[in-house]
Amino acid sequence: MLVEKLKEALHEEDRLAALYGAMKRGRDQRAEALEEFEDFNGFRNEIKAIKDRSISNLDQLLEEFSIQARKKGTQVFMAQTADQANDYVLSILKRIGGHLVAKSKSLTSEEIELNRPLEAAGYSVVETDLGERIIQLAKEKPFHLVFPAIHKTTQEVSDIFSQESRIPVNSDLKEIMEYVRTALRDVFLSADIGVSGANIGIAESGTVVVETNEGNGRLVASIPKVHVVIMGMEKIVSTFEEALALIRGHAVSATGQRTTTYVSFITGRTPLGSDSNRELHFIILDNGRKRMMEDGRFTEALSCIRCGACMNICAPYSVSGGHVFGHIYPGPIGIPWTANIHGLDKAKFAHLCFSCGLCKEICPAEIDIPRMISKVKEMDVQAEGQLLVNRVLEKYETMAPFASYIAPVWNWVMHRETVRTLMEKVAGIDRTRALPQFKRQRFSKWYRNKRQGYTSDTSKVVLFVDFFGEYIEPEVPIALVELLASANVDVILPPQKTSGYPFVAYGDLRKAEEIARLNVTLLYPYAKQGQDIISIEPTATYSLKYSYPDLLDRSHESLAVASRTFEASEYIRKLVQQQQILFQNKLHGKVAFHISCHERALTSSKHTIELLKGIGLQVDIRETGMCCGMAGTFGLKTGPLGAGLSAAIGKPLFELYKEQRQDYISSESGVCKLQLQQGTGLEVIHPLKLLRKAIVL
Amino acid sequence: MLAPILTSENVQTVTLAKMSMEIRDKVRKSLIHANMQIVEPKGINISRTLSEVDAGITLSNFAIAETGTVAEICHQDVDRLTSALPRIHICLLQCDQILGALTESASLLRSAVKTYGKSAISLISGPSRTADVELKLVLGVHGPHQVHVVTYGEE
Ligand code: SF4
Ligand code: SF4
Repeated sequence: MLVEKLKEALHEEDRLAALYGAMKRGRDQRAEALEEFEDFNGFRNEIKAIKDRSISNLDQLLEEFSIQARKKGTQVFMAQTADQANDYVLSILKRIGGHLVAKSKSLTSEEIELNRPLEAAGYSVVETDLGERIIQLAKEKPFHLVFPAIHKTTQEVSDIFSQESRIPVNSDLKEIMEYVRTALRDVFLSADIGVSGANIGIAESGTVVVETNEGNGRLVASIPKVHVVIMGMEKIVSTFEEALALIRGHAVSATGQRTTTYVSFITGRTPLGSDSNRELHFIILDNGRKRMMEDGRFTEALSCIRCGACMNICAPYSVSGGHVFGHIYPGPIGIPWTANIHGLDKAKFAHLCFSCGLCKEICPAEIDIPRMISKVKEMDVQAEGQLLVNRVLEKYETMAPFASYIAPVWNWVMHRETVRTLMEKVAGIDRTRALPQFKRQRFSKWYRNKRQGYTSDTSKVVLFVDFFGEYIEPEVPIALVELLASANVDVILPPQKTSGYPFVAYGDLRKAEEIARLNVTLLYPYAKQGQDIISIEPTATYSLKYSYPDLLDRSHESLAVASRTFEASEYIRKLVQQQQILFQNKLHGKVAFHISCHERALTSSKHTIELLKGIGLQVDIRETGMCCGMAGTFGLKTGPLGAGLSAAIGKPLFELYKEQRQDYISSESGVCKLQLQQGTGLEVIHPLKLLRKAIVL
Repeated sequence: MLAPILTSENVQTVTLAKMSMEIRDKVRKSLIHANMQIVEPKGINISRTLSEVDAGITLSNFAIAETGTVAEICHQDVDRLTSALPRIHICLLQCDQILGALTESASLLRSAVKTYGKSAISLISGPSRTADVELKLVLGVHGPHQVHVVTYGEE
């Protein structure tokens, strides 16, 4: 099912181009707006703190909110399930004898699929937000959290409205708006009930906050006799101060606006003319939220302020869209929400996530979405069994010692057309993808034999090599050892396993934990003595610093190792600043540099970039702002759910390298290197190898 | 100040939201002088009447510099709809009521809710807009196409 949907999506190039443009614009506008915040981290911390505080006090806030709201004459209804909420709205319609419902955008009402039972009972429901109206008429689900109809072109929209009105509406935005204003004005004026969502509930006064740009929210809240607000229980905060901080954060993060055009604070129902007999209802929805809150694995998901930023940075979402990468809640945060609210079987799209980690970096509430996604994958794997191809790819690292031992044979075998066809058939590894080539001489072997020349008694540092350095490109850690030797620093190589990150990516958290424990046990003695640990591969550094403590319940040992772990580049830069490493040979030319995903959680390659500049190179960062598409071993898988997705994601990035000239292409990640080399047909060189060229031993 | 804006936009009918007698008189005078018809929405068709008026004039309680926002505190929906339904919205703002940052408005919002109990407060930052089709920004959807803020008084 998932695979079929994905295959279809990958073929709709126009849609993908529109989506890609929209996401890019979303990222750019947000980035521009964020420049105004002098302290982005302070801003994130504030939002996170407000949400954390509110969710841990939820019971109390709910009670205060209800008391205050009722004092102002608002009717408050706590709905445990979607059905209860829907029935409540139906009962109001029956009581007042109305027939027309005008809705302003509300994801929560999408969540409970309110329109369905209302329409089944013979009522007309009209969405008044433009994007929502378009998908309502097209009978689709939201494609994007903030821009539900982002996949429709102006022409398609004019067709949809022409069909509705039976008079042609030209494919011109102004004309479309004119039509929409007139057609919906009548709906606002004759609606019996207005239904809206709420962005925030304020407990101290029983107020709800509704944000809209089109102005439809104000109309559904004021014209009809009855206004019904449907709000998830996680939306309540304590004070106006907190609400204002969220309003600001939401606008900046969602659309790059300083504030949404209309922010309404609604407290009780205000009269219209002499009619003071009007109603306001708050439906506060649980529908699985309490359970999520109590299940420590997913509590964080409730901090989401629905800004959509995580969608704009997610590479697999960018090429598949919200109908494939989503159920009702789309995108990265849609995975934990769907699994909890709509069921694990609806959350299969979790397997499209390849754990690049970028959604966490962009989230204004600092939600660790990737961690929750790997839990969802794990639950699904436990329920349904792991895909064979994922098992094989997880094992690829385990086979490595053997493969490297017989490297020439292995590489030759792996190149045979027949073997690759067989591997594709049996194990699901795409035949057209270049597999990493094993080296006969592993790094650890070189280290035992050749290092003597570089030993030193004065200063030592522990090295974590990982898969690529050990088996595929030992020249990289060798370059590092030589760079350090020039500063008279010796490298210690304790026994170690590769990082095991593929287990996290494929949701095998038990195995991931095993490896984490093993590596932490092996490294802890050094950390305890205050010895620094350096790591080359960004994913490995990320694992040591962030994933291991998570997997090991933040044990003392794991935190000690995390706190002593540094990127090799940072360590080298320190030695350069202390003038212990001297770059005597200057290099010339331009490096086109790709920042790997896990680097964004670290330093965004800050140190490496400075070092490359220091040896005389001009550094040109070439980014789409998203993942390169290889994402560990994900891109090796055959079919749309692997190589297909990976190639579609990589395309715009490859263009950047093919269009412009450069003397070197460089990236710190072995995985990105594979993807870039295959995608561009050009050579990619590790920055440590460039730095090595600049020293004289 | 008001009349030139309205005449240049071909406005013929105008509604006034709640404001002090003194300001209201001044505004009325200038409107009548410019040959505008002032509509007083009443009865059961209030919303329909307001929907057909060319321009709505409201009084802002305070404004926010950082975001270019005017705030309207209403306890009567006729006032709220005056800035929501017509195509042109003119908002009167007393010069000394301008705050610096959005977050500074918390105590004003709180005291408004305390004083009036039932209330609808709108923070308005420009004309209604959408980018729902191809992310192209279009001004003027369900709310006003234009918002003019006219300041008065001493700074
Ligand atoms: S970790 Fe990367 S691939 Fe997975 S949901 Fe987040 S952004 Fe998308
Ligand atoms: S998870 Fe974070 S980034 Fe994604 S919509 Fe929610 S708040 Fe925004």
